[in-house]
Amino acid sequence: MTDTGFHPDRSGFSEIDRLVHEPARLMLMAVLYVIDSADFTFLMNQTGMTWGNLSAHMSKLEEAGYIEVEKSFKGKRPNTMLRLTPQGRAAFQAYRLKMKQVLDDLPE
Amino acid sequence: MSASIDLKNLEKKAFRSVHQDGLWDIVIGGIVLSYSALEYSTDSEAFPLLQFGLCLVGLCVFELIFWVGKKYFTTPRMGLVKFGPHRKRRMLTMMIVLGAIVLVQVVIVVGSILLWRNPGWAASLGLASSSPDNGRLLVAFIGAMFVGPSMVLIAYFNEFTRGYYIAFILSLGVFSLIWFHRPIYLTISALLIILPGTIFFVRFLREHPLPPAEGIHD
Repeated sequence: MTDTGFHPDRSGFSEIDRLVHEPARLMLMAVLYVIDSADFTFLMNQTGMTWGNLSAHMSKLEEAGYIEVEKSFKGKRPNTMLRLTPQGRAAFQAYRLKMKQVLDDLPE
Repeated sequence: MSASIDLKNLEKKAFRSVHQDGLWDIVIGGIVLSYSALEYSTDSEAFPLLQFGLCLVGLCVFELIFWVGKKYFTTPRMGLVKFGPHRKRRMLTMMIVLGAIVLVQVVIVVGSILLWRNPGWAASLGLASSSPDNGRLLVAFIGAMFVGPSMVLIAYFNEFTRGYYIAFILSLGVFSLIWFHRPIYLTISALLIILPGTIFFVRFLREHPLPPAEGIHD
């Protein structure tokens, strides 16, 4: 076996936030990162996820404190808006930086 | 993976999706169509009243179409979204620029009226026209400039790509209305704006069926 001279720093990979790293949640957090807030239907349209899928990912993100749910009424209809919490925004930013750093460290 | 996420593009795509229902086209075309009713003339004495009535009813009907369309057709399919402070700043900039344009337009209208009533002033400023055609051409050009640039700005600040087409059609319609003295050109322009809007609306309804009941999250 030949030594390529590349020895990845495993600690860099282990610091990646797995909650954000999952592709569907990453997409969801990216959409929420660029807007202020949105309801389920808008997020379903933007991400192409089904209601069940979206709901499951939202629950995980809410448990982690990355998103907050704002319930209100539009006339007589209930309206649920979702937005990233400051903690969620920070987690997304940290994830972007970490991934960029890890990928930039890879040899050409 | 995240390095390949283009956040600006993602935001732009989300923002542009708000205009895909064609309702803006329909309401803008409807407003133009309603105002075009005021340009027709006949010998009947009752006609001006009927024209104002038609214009008013047209404006109300198209506003209603927009409101009902957004509330009962678009929002249940598209969902609700609030954009960030960047968009709010952009809207504020648009309002300021449009306000400045309206101010310039008011100055032009008032100046034109003053020069019209005082031909001596126009002559001394070198603005008097020997040919009535030249005068009409100038008025037609100014009329087109009143509507075109404002619509271009609205299109630019709202990332409403079809707005550039609307601006062109609207400018052409106003120019032709004044130059040829034929209100039908403005009516045609309005229809050329409403028609694509209607096609976009129908396409939007086909491509975005109502989400299942469970999708309406409460």
